[in-house]
Amino acid sequence: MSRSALDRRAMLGLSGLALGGLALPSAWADSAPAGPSIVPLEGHLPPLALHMQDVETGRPVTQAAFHGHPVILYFGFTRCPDTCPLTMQNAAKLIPLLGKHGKDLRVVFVTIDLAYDTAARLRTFMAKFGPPPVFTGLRGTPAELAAAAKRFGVYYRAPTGPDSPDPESAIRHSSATYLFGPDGRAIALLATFPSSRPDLPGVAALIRKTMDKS
Amino acid sequence: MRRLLTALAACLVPVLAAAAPTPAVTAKDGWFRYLLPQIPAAGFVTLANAGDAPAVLVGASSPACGSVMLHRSMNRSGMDMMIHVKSIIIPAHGSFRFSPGAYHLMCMKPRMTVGGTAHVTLTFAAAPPLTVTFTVYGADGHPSSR
Repeated sequence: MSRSALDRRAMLGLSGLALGGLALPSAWADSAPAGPSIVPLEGHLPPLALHMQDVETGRPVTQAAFHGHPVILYFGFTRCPDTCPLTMQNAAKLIPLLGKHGKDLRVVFVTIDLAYDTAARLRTFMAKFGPPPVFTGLRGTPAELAAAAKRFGVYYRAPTGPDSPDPESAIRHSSATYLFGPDGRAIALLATFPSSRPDLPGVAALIRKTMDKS
Repeated sequence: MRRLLTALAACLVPVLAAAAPTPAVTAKDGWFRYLLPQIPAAGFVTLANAGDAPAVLVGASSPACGSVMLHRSMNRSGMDMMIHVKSIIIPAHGSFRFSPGAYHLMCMKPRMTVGGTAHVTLTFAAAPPLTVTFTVYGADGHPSSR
């Protein structure tokens, strides 16, 4: 373990158990946050707005591209081996639960790792989980990424270059996964979606409701 | 938390220091989620310890991985991060599960194919190494999670 990794842990004030490397009972080990799986957000988050490159087409897109579609917005990175693929797998499992609305959903993955995630790499990553445009990868310029992250209260830190040692554990990001309605309004924080307890039936019911309303 | 740690350490140290019966660790349900060669693959497995002493997993290696690290995904106040874990204790007559969203074996440079297998050797503090066959699944993970 690098010295800086130790410092990072100390800085974060992570539990003494983690520092000692002792394993915790499995109930503790789950990354799912405690609390409700779906937190209503209406009126608490600005509507969907962003300007980035769609890695599938190579063209810039804005929120206009998602008009009429419910959107699940997630910030992640491809060399995250556990929670990011788990979140996308949850999204893939959600689609069939939406019935006829499955094709309308847009699962939007915004990379925070501009040093490593080229458009081609993110495109290949997304294709593992489902076809575009349901699965859409977005890559912004540093300024576009910063603007979107600020708008949605998402923190990210990806300080390392593609060849730096131990890059993965230095990268961190808010797990915030947001649902926007077909009109772009923020509906809910899907708090447990990026975990092993995603409450897919609950999320599917909420999406169907927003579609039926529109 | 610190008090708990001290208490835990007090309990563990004598047990570990005793001329321990050999831990009998077995593994089942080993699998990788493999996406691309350029993306680290996460490995999951359930370890059971039938012995009378705790077993301490201190590392892992695999010819299919370049290097392997013990990692834990954590979410603290809405922030997703991974941390290295130096060792993992499988309690006597207990088990420990690596599972998605929690503890995982991080395979840094995966060389494997979906549908195939990869061998992972687990090393313990005071027990012989254990080589486990992991099944390689793709983006949709273990069949039981689909």
